[in-house]
Amino acid sequence: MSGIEELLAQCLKEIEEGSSVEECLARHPERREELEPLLHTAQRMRGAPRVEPSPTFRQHARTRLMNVIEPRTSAAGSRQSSSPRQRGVFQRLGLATPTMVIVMVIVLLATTGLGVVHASSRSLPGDPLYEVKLATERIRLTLSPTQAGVARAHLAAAERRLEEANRLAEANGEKYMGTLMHQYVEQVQAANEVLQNRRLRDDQVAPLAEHFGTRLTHHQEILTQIREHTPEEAYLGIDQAIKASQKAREQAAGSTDKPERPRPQGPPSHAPAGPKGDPPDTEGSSRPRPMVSPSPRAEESDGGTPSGHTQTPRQPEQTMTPQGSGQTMTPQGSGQTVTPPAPDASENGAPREEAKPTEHSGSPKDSAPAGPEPTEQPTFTKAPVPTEESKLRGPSEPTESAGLSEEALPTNTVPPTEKPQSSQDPGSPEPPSGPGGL
Amino acid sequence: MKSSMTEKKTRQDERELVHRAAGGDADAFGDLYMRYLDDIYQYVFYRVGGKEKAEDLTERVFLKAWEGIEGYEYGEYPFSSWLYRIAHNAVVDYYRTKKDEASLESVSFRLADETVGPEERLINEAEGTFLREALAQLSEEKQQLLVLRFVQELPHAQVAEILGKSEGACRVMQHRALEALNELMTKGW
Repeated sequence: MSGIEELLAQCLKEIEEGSSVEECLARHPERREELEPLLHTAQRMRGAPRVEPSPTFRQHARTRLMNVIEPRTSAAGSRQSSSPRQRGVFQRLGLATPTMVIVMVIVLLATTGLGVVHASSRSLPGDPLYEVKLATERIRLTLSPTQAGVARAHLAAAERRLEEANRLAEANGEKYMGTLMHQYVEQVQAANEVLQNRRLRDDQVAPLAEHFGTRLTHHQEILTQIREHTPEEAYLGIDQAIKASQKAREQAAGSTDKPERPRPQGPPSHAPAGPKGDPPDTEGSSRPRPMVSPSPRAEESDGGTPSGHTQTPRQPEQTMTPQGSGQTMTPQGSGQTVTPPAPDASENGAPREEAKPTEHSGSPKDSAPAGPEPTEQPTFTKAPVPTEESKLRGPSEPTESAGLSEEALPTNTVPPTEKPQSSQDPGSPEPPSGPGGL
Repeated sequence: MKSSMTEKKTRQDERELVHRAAGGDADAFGDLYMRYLDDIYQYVFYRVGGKEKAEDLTERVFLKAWEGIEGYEYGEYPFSSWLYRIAHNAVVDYYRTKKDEASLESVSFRLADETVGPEERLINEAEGTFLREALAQLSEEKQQLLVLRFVQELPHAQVAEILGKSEGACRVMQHRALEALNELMTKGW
């Protein structure tokens, strides 16, 4: 004799195959009393109204997704091999691989000086010289003499992506917005990884963390402004960028609380830098920087400056955080990124444990002005009322000088918004912590 | 026979799409997205209530899927089962981080069938809201089972696969879940 569970399953199967509830009950009169309410409940559930996403959501669903996921291929390609899209660009340039671009940059530097590289600094995605700009960034990373320099170069690259996104938002050129936001996230994560992994001298951690805090706070403001000038289809990518920025900022703030890492080998932190340790974080002053023209600004020796931002060399923090951290984006679920790369996927399949499987539980439910360390990133300055000219030049146009690290410095010209608070959907849930625990 | 052939072709087509997506082809993944958008949306909707939340979570489910698709082995279990698992985990994460939010604050239905008249629409919406509210009183696991089994109308074997349980254990759970839901619907909560 079957248990009630088996009998219920059998009846449900019969109903799925065309029997009526009554026919099933008639076949099991002795269990009718138990089965009847359960079968009716199941039938009621089966009759639950079908729901579907709104037409607006559906209409742009694919575009939004493509805006976010397409870059993964190209971003991965930029690290390893070139993606089809990148190959297209390289082919248009008559080049084979990104490596060739680096070679080209070196050749250009040797033959034409810094003009082309300088010109590329103003380029935007889709421009012929954009790949030169990216290659220049890679060279900067390669040449960074310290880990702190690497972190700052990543952060500077992130700011360039913001600056480009800003310019594109103004020009209604959202085509590359998803790509830029994805690359922004990658650069911020790469910068943060250096800080969190503590591949730094102990005395480098606090200044770098402070620098991160200041810059990332400002990034969030810029991103919020970009979001307000961008079509809805690009929101997902921008929201991810905001979250990544917020997470990195929080982690940077926490990094100074961590106990200093043990130093099993190598010189003590106060020892002069030797081959095994990072040299003092003077970013470029301690070592000749090939291909980098002498720059009057210490910060440029490390990552250059995104074009277009008002440069206020010695008092950057004041302009960088015009509204203070209190008004920055605070995406819900701070500390979680939306796209952790498939951490759970390796487990392939285990459903996640529930948070609280309770029956009848009614479910559900920056920093002070910069210290002695020179600022390496450029300043995004809010342009209160940008004129047409200022949109192009920025309110306090920096002096341009040729050089790898001397990029055009357009100002963040997206006007300040009236919305003080997060542009995220207030009902937006926390991102799951992995691709399905699978 | 014909439907069996169509089904086989669909599976082959899906296998091809999954293979291409795993290789980084975003367009192929976009096709998979559009193919399963409604199913995942509906599942998420009945788990969290509220169309904005469901839309947002649905997008996140597919982003997670994109991130993890290289690790998905086609044939081990259906692609849809894999997506439902991701969706389940997304819902669990959602509730884990939103404990302080009322889950039913904005249960808003957008019915799939637009041919029904306004009266029937109201009735359907009321029924949908009632079911969603009743479901919300149950444990996560029971909700998951009931939605997969009766709203998504998935067979026992696939539900067991998604839940990571044996079919026998699923049948026991099904009985308990229906009992609990029936009690709620008759006695209120």
